[in-house]
Amino acid sequence: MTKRKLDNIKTSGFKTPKDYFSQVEEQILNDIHLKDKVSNSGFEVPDSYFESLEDTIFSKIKTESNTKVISLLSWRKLMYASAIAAAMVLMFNVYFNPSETVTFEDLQTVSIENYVEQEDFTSYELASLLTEDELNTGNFITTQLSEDSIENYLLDNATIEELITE
Amino acid sequence: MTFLDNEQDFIQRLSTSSTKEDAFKELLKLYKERLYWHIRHIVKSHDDADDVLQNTFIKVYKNIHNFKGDSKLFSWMYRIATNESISHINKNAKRAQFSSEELQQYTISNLEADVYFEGDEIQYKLQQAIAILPEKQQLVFNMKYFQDIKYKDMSVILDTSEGALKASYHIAVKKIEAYLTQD
Repeated sequence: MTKRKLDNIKTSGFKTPKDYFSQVEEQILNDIHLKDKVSNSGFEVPDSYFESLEDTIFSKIKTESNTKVISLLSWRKLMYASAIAAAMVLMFNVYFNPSETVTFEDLQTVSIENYVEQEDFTSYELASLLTEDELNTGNFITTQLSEDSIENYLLDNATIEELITE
Repeated sequence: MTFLDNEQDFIQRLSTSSTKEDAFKELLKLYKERLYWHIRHIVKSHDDADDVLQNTFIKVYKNIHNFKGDSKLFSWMYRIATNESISHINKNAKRAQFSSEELQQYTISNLEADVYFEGDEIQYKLQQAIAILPEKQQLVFNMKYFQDIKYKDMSVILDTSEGALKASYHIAVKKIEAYLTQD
């Protein structure tokens, strides 16, 4: 029975990747051809380079570990650094401050009033800046004055002589 | 690949201050040439290789206490050497304001004048062909072709599957063959 069973097993069950045999042939031949042509890279080393290498590396390690480590953040350096930083900030503020365009809305009303008061403007000059529509009298006289009050004002404050000369 | 009989003991000696120096000397003796050639094939010139090799060993010496032992010591050192080589190239390229590919072309064109390059025409052409490959294929090709590092070890060093490494190597060989036979 067992013998007959074994006879029935025709394959081992092992498989190869697709196209393996055609590929492997090409790969082996490529490799052989290349190695026939160039077997080494042609790079060389200076004489006795490897002999002296160990000493070189050791002396490097020693000098590195013997070098005194100076903290970068010493007090004095910090002071210099902050001085430079402050100078830079100042410089940027003074020289590189981009000239901001001031809009009319940014100005305080008081500043405008002061400006108008202090500068020597005549009312005609001011009026020339305004359009006809803006110049109607309603804008200037806010309180309606009665004829009586005008009369009283004139009687109190003006002399008849003055009025006549005018 | 590993030449250390008892790696655990050896690492213990490397991390103990009283035995550190002797153990490190042994490590240097064992790996200096192999690491040198690994680095040299990446950076090409002897002076650069010398720089990178020294930095690699100094890093190993200083950081041995950080070595966790989850991979073999040699693959850890190869990984440091690989990273150091690549960052060395990038640093040089940045300094010269080149891309690392441009720098490599420039290095190869300087090989003919290099006193430590004894190659003839075909070896020079081989270096030109390697320089055209993508970085990963270059690494795999150099490690397999010139140093015969096993795929299994390479897989740990480069953190890539063995299958992918084999494929990379065969693609690299094919491209180089084509380059060498084109004229």
